[in-house]
Amino acid sequence: MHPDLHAARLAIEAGTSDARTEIEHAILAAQAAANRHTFTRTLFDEARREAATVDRALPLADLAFSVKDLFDVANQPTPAGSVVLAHAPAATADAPAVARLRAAGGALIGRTNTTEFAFSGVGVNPNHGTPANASDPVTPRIPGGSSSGGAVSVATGQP
Amino acid sequence: MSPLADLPAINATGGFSAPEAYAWHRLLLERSGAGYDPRVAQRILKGATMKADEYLDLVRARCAWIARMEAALQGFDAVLSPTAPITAPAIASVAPGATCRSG
Repeated sequence: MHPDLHAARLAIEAGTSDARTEIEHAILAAQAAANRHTFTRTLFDEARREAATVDRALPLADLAFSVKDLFDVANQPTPAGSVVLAHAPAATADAPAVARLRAAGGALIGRTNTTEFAFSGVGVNPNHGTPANASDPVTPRIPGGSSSGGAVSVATGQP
Repeated sequence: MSPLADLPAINATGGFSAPEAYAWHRLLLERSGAGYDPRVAQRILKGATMKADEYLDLVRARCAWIARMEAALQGFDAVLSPTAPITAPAIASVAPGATCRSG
């Protein structure tokens, strides 16, 4: 499992890691088999660019974060795990939580899966696939919901 | 924590989520209903048949339930519980043949 954000930040400050390494770790974790179906949309190249130009003094500088598909991200639609809103008008601004994470220096690497419109605690999503519960590597089990992708990403140790 | 056992009965007519979701989704459901996850559409549509008296009963039931919960929680600083009372079922057992439409 990859170190948590606090440990990663300490490693960067100590000079034993750097922004490029941390972002590439996060992207590799996001692409791992255990995270198949964790994301509804990935923003790897954007995250690399954000991390490359971030002000190193910020508390989340060099670190990746993801947000549930329910949150507004400027210039992207907010489909909430659905296909019926996949081409909805793009959000005009970041949601306050997203804006604060970005202002703190974090690099957004993707939008995470959710039950369609967050309307179930089971976590099944036929549009994007269902992220499998990280606790059982043999039998794919429901992840719970509605934050299915976010839960699986944390349980597998990625941002 | 006996008030927790009352929730299924209180929510039997759909709870608040169904009518609130239906109020937002009804036009989109008319236009694009086939694009919804059928399980989600079914939950939202429960809100279309809820009667006004059922909704008002629900508002009152919530108020009374909050009072019972507050009484039950008196004297505790925190209450910890598992998020679910069962082991997570296999995906295949809850969504047969529907793990991913887009492959």
